[in-house]
Amino acid sequence: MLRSRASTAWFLFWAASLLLAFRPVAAVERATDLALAPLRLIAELAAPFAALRPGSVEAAEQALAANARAEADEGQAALAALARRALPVDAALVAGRRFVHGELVERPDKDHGWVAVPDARGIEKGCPVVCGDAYVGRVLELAPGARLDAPARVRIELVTAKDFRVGAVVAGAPEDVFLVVGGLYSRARPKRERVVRLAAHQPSSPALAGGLARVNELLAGTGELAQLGQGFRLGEVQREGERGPWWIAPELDYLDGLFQVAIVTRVDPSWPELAAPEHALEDGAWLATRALSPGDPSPWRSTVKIPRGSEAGVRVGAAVIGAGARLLGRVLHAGAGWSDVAWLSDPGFTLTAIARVAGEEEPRILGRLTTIGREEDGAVRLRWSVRVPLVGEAGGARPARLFSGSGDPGLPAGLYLGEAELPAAVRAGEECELVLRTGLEPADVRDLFVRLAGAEARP
Amino acid sequence: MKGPPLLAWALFGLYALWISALQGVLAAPRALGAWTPDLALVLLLAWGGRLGPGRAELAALVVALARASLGADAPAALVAGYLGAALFAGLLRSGLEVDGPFGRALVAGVSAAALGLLVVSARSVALAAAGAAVAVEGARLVPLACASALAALLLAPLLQRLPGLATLKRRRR
Repeated sequence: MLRSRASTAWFLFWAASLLLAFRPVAAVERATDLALAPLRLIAELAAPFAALRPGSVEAAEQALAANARAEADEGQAALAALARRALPVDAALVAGRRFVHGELVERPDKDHGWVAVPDARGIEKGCPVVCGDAYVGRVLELAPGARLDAPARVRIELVTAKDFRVGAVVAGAPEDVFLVVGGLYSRARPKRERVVRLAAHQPSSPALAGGLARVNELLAGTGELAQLGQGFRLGEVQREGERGPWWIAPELDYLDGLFQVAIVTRVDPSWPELAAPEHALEDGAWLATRALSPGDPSPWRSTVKIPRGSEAGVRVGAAVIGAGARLLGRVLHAGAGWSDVAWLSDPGFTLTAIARVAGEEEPRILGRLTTIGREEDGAVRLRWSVRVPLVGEAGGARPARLFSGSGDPGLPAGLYLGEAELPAAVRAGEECELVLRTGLEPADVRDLFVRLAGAEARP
Repeated sequence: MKGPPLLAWALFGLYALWISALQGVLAAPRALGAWTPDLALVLLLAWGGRLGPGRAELAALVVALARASLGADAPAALVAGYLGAALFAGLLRSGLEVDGPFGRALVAGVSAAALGLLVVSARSVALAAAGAAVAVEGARLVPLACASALAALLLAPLLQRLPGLATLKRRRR
């Protein structure tokens, strides 16, 4: 009888575990986290197993050290090129305006972002935000407690936001057509087609057939700051059929391709010229740590545990690097006294990326990549949701060196990822598979550095 | 060697941890990769039939926690997987001979595949909930099952001789 009760209790416990495996409950997960905190000490007992591969550890750390400077310089050069591209090239858009360069460091949702700027003087609510000649959105607020003469974070709203509206004009014969742009054009599209289209509202003439829409803030009460956005490009106006609604095909990937922007302010001679941003590797916001476990026992996972947790300032999403400028992984889970780190090859690992394509001077913004798995030889299979097309001859491939992009909190831009071959031609909305060769097994790197929480806002 | 049961359980936990760590080294792409056996499961099945009533399930918990301390799979999924394997073996044991070499190898193969499927499915569900448009791909369950069955055949007799665990054995009347 007693045995039967014990068996029933074990069976119920098993059923509860099975349910929690598929439907996690936050309170239970928090309690489990606390209860499993001693596992960190237990994992230390497995340390001798790391010694089973001394040769590969040495080779990996030598490879990292040998390439560290070159990879850091290349990443920095890519970021500098993107920062230059964030400023307008059209002389008419430059005159009478001041531009504060900023990096998008966090996206709380798809329509808003936090931008890190080196100096907040002149930035106020309503300032336009641009990327090159293209219009991005407006400043909503400075981060609470930010000083004007110091690095700060600024919250911006993108033109894709549901209630965002900006005046626009399409210049053309026989007459200019005025319209309002803002929010997303949401007419049903095939599910796999992931293309962002801006909604166009109330054109002044039904004869509008197409053309380039530019910002034209004619509305009463828009104020001086809104006028600073005058003339920036919104995209090509298109129409569904002859009687269907209009939309705008934007020139930017607002979802995952927005890394470097410029905030437009009034000109004031007392405000300083701003220096180029410092590379994240040199800002001191990294915490030295080490791999606690020799590797994940599951062959389909690529993770490791580190003996630093939330109490040390480690947060989910923080970048993990070795001795160099190469991204090895990101924090998957920050517990009490320990964290799980997912290597690049762990299924579900996701980041935004830029590519330096062989033979091209300027870096390309790829957008978001997500790991599907790894191949037998350790190469990483990535899924790429294309939003900005690549134009070229179909069928070929272009070798490229990939770097991390901006917009994910805790993950600095410009960290080297590896080499991949990009398709020569690919359309917006397509999904491609890339094979990334990192040339390094991250589990072989024992000395690690993890990005500290809030590093982007440090003065 | 016989000692207090608590010490024997601590040693069992240490062996489970070490065998999971060895599994982590073998699972690297340059080592066995997809052909890595679930050694922790083999340890559990090697001892499952020798432990007293209720103890095989406790051993499953110890093995699940040892593996959770080295990997990122959800502890609930690992507990459900190893506990399920122990309950499955116990159920079969009431009517079939599963503690012989071939019976154990068969149970190890089936349980390893089921445990792998459970952990991969739980991860895929978690990824879907987080908005990632991918599922876990590349999880090859057949090599895992074959390697685990072979490991059970070859290694179980050695694992049954691990020192310090004698007090965990079921007492014969």
